[in-house]
Amino acid sequence: MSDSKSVKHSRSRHRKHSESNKVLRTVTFVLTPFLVLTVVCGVFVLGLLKPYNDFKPYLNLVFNEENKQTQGDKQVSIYHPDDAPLRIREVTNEETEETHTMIYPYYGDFYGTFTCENAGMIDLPIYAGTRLDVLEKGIGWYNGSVYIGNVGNLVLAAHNHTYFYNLPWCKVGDIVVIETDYVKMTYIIGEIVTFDENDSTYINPTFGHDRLTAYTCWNNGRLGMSKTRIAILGDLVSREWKKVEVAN
Amino acid sequence: MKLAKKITTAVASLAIAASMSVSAFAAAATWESVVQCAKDCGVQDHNVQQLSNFLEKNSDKFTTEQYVGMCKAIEKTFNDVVFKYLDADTAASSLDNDARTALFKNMTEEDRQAILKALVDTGAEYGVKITTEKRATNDGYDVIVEFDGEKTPIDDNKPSPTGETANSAAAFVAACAIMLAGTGIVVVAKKNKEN
Repeated sequence: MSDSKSVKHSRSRHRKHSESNKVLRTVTFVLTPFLVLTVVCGVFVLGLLKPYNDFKPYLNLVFNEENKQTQGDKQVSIYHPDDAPLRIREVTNEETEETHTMIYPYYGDFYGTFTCENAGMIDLPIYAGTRLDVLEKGIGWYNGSVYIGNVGNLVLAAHNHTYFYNLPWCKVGDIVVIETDYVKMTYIIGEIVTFDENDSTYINPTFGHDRLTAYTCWNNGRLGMSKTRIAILGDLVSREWKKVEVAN
Repeated sequence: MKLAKKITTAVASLAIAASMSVSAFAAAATWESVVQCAKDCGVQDHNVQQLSNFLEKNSDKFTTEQYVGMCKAIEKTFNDVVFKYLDADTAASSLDNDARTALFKNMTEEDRQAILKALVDTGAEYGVKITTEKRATNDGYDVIVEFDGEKTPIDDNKPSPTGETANSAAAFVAACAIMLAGTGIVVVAKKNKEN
């Protein structure tokens, strides 16, 4: 009798133990990952809100988005041979009869720098072209716009989470300086516009009229792709040609 | 009436083309004159700018005779393809960029291919290799120009995609969590079955 009681007791204890093990296993192996998933989703949703933007550069550092390169990095280019010579030309202005030097970039190569001090953008690298591989390296110069220094609409583009992250902070009246090895262009921001991704109005040439158009995706301050672009439109203040000395 | 309109347009176009040819021969043809020729023949502004950029950069690589040849090729393409889309008495040079864009959009695919073929053939004549591929995303074409050892993709004239894609780190962590949860369910079920 006592044996059967103790067996029953032992079985009861075993059942209770087994039940608690099931609960513990469920918590450990099933609920914990779902909890982690909920936390991650919650962080992601919070990330869509404005405050995230303040922490974004630090998160980028942690997750190491390789988005900065020093100027003049020697890299293997898929667009020209390694020993391709500098494309330099002396240009004479027919009206003023002044001569200046132009250095034409190869696609994908470093071209110049972009500075807007008031928005915290200092010496950001500009590369020639706007294909995705170029935009990964820096600001892209749209090759359907004028060469830097020539008269017309100079169009630059960059990602909103990297090089043009601060572009929406630019204000009318801010000074923007675009500098290359052969010229320094100074613009004053006259207008800030938003437009649809299919609207080419602001990136089309403006033959005979100087303008800077720098744009990026605009998602009302949130992360993510967008059908809208935001652009600063700059009016030319000064064009300063530099003396170029080429090593033989 | 329709035939008369076509004849009038053709005559007007030929007259324009002839005058441009004469002026091209008369003046010392330069890369700037080829660019002006493209503008006069209704080429869209961004294509004119891209042509200008290419010719300016390589202006020391072509002769006056070659510039004349380029002008003639542009005019021929205009006469063969573009003029039939113009109204009578409308000069292509008078069109604004929106009208030029609409003109190209209204063309048949056959005529667009004819223009691209003319572009490729003309380029080949002067040692410029041009490859084109129709884009899946819009009506445009991906164009790559190879000349003198240099390869230059022609950037799309639609604003580039410059937005951020989904945060890859968060997506990775979420995927791991889902995987762990799935593994956990399997382990628990197995353990419970054993018990």
